[in-house]
Amino acid sequence: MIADSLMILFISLCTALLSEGLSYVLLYRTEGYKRLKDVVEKQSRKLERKKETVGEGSVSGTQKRKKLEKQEEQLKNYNKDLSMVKMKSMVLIGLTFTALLGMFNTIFDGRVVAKLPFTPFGILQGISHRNLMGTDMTDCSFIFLYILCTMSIRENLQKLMGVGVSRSVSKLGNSLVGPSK
Amino acid sequence: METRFKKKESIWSKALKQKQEWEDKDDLLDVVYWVRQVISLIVGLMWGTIPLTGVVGIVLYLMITCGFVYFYCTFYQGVSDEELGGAWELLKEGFMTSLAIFFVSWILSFTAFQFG
Repeated sequence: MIADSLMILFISLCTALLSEGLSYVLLYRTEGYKRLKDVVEKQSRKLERKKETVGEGSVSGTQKRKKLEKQEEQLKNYNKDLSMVKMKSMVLIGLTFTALLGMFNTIFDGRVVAKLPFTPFGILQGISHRNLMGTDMTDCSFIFLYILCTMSIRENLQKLMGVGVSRSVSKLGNSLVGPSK
Repeated sequence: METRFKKKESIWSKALKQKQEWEDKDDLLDVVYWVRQVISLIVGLMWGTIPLTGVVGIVLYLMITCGFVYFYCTFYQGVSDEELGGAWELLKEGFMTSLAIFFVSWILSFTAFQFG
């Protein structure tokens, strides 16, 4: 059983490396992406700083807020452009990995690959016990372990490579997506 | 590349010393992020080896990791959570990734030592 678990850990490490490698070739090294990412990062930091200093109520405060809204709109557009640049390579990588996942799923289908030290609750049991026989909910399926391994490896890899989304961008990204007041 | 490496080196030596001045708060959050990943890995391996099972293991892990992050920043480094964007921002720094690392190491060590 542990051999299967270690194999899945190795597979997710390889797929994460492959995915980041493909992203590097198709996306991270391109001039368009680099330029847009730089602009979005700079604008986000600037906007974050300005948001902290804008006062409430006064006339100058209202003017500054209007200016701020204009900058937010500009940042939204840059973010949209960045998403468009990302989309092409993401679709390609997504398709590749769906095919790979399907293949691994067939190999490990119906096999208990690990034992869980806890009983997952409701919805999670659907994933952790997917395609497994028996009623022991501590039996772990391939897909559950694979998702956990990928979650733990991928973001750390991106952070090590310095290609993850910066904090200011993700912070502002949430406020830009949310409803405006 | 070399300057980036030197910067990282200075951040880690700073992280070990008490009550340091952090001009760029992102550096401190980076330290929190990586330390959290390492703690999660160690706790996961320990829980699987003992073995500690069930909700108790998850709750204890959450208490250890969140407690460590909060106490390290506010008491050891003397940086208030407000300066880092609030207690919530601090506690969720690298949370999902570290939780995944904890689960993977817990499941693998539990499987290896109890069913290997």
